[in-house]
Amino acid sequence: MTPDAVAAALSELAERPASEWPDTLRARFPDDPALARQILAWLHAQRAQAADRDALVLGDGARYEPGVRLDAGATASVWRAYDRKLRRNVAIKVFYAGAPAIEDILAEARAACEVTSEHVVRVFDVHDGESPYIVMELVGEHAPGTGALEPGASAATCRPRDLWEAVRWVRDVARGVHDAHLRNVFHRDLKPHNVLITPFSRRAKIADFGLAVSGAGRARPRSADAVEAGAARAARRISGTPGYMAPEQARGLGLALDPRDPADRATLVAVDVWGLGAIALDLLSGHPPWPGSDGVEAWELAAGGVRPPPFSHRETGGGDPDGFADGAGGRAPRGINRGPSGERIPARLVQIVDRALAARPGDRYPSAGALADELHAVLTCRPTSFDRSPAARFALWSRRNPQLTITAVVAVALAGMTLAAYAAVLHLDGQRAALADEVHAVEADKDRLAEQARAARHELDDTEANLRAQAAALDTLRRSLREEETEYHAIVQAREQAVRSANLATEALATVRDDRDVAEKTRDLYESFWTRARKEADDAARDRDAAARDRDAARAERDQAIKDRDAARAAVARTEHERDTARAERDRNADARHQAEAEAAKLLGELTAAVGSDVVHPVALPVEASDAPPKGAVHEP
Amino acid sequence: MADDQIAQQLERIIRRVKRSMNYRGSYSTRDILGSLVARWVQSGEWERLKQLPEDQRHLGESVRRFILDRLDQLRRRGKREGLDDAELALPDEQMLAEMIELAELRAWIARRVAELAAGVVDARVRVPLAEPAEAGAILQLHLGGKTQREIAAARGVSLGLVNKRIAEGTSYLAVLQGIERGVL
Repeated sequence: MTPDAVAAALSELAERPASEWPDTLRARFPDDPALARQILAWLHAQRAQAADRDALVLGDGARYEPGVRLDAGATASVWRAYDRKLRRNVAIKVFYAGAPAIEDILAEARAACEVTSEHVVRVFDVHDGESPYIVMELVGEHAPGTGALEPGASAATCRPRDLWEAVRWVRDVARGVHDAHLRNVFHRDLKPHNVLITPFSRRAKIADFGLAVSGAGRARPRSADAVEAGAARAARRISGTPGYMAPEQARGLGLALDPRDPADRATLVAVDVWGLGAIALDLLSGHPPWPGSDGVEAWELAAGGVRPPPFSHRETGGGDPDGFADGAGGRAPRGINRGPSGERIPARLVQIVDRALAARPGDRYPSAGALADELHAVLTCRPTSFDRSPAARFALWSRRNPQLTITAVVAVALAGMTLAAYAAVLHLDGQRAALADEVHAVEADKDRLAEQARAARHELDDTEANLRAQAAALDTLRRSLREEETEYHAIVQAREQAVRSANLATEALATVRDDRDVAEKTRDLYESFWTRARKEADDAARDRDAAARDRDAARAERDQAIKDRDAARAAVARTEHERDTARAERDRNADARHQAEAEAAKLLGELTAAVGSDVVHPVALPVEASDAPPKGAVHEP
Repeated sequence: MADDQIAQQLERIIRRVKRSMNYRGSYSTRDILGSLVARWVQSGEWERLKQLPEDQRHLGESVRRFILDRLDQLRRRGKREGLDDAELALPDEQMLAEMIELAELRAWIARRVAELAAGVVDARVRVPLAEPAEAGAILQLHLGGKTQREIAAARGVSLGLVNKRIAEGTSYLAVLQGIERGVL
């Protein structure tokens, strides 16, 4: 089966009632029941996702014609629709099947209806049938050019253009929340997603009272919290958006809070004031107070009980002046220093948001209205509760009344200038009178001085005569002085010459000293050479003496050897002589033996002849190896 | 299996898949506890217990101990006024089983959506998906809590196309879940 055939079947069957699907699919895919089942499941899934839209089409006589889906959440989707009966555009919140119970939907609608405020989305109707929905005001405006109705968007999507727009939104929302509080309705889920912004005038309105508590009828646990209601031990309930929850809200609020009870009311007001602070922080800085990676992590941060320190200290890395550390493993909300378009956030605005996000509910603003007034004061340059000093108040007054301030400044300047001119005139009059008195005094002085001048002239003439005499004396003195100067110059030149000579002598002396030093060094060098040569000569003399001694000893040894040789030669001569003597004796002995042997042979012959040859045998005589046989070596038998 | 039985089972599967796909902005106690149960499943304890015979699992005891440990960690952090005397009801056995099933389904959906974003389509699903990678990427943003408008703005496509891709992807997941559960 080709994908095209499957796609064609899907598009065709999507327009038909679901009851026709099984038979049509069986007929179209008779050989492939598994594929038919898959297509059937696909169609059911598609239809289920359009169920909320179908609820509008089918419900209440099709009074509302659904348009585009504006948003979708966990329990409901919001559709733009047209009310045919009243001929107006509305927004309809359609709840999914099995989502909140009818009584919770009614409670949400009633809570919103309780509030009459231009900053709260109005509820027109609620349908509590099989497919429940709430019909609300469509937060939108007609486009200036085309006249087409444009729906607004949440503040989470449609971010503020600048710091002041963010402050204006939070102020308007705070006023809406305050109006709701006056009607004993407490939102408990304030966040940018639940603030709708009109597309052109950009005004803010609060929506979604799904978690609201109202004095009219929410003194019981919500059906959605059946898990708590089912457990009798449960005393607290968590509800809200984790990233924006107040710490006490994250830890769980009481199940049966009564807005008419002062203590419970204060608790609920404090939770909403925190929510307003959280919206302000998000709009100004772009992140929620508890920036966890998922819902449960943000909830853990919020429930961890870590007090958020002032943002200004947080951002600049300063310490926590209140002594609240980050805690063991905890994290504090991140801070702000710059607005959405990068502008610096005024310190007093930071202080206001800081107070709204105080960890202890009692430290927050006592009401949403008080917070709105503070924000309005920031917008209109009026003093807030943090602007106590007269200087700060005057600066704000000046910014609030710039024309009046300029007029006052000009008036003060003109008055100052007038006073200065009058003072100058008075001062000049005084000066003129003083000058007239001085003129009179000067006239009297002039006469007196003229008389004095005459006397002085006489004195001057005398003095001039004296001076002339003194000048002549002075000339004489000058001449002598010049002569002395000439001598002095000569002396000076001589002294300079002497000095130059002395310098030359000094230089020569230095040269001589250098030469002497060189000579001394050379002498030392030669002395060292001489000492070394002398030592070498001594060593050579000692070697020479030793050689002479060796030579004498060698000569003595040679003489002795000669003597020994001569003695040996004498001994050899004696030995040769003795040898010769021995040889002669041997020769004699040999002759004697030969003679004896001849005599013995002769005697043997004679004996043999005498006795017979058989009886007597001659005996061989031993012959010695030496040439000198012993005498008488002949043995007889 | 008869058509009406299949339809009932399919409806239940589709409802659960659709419910798991919806972005949760606001949380209740049950959502917080459900998220903690999901963490317990991720910790591997559930895989370990599944190896044991059913009568030895003591599921509730293990999950409650895990949740109480987390709450105890919160109590030990920083200032804890108001938390010591908090009495949050812990879920009973039936609720726990449902929470575990939902947590597993969410984890399964996250895996399958990641596969889709990588362009991988399960071969067992025979209904063609037009742009699996685009559907997967859009579903990932949807699961991350982005609204349809934010997704359209982020990806530079129309709101209608985003809605269409979310619907296609959800249908694909529902069919695949039906196959894995033996209904299809």
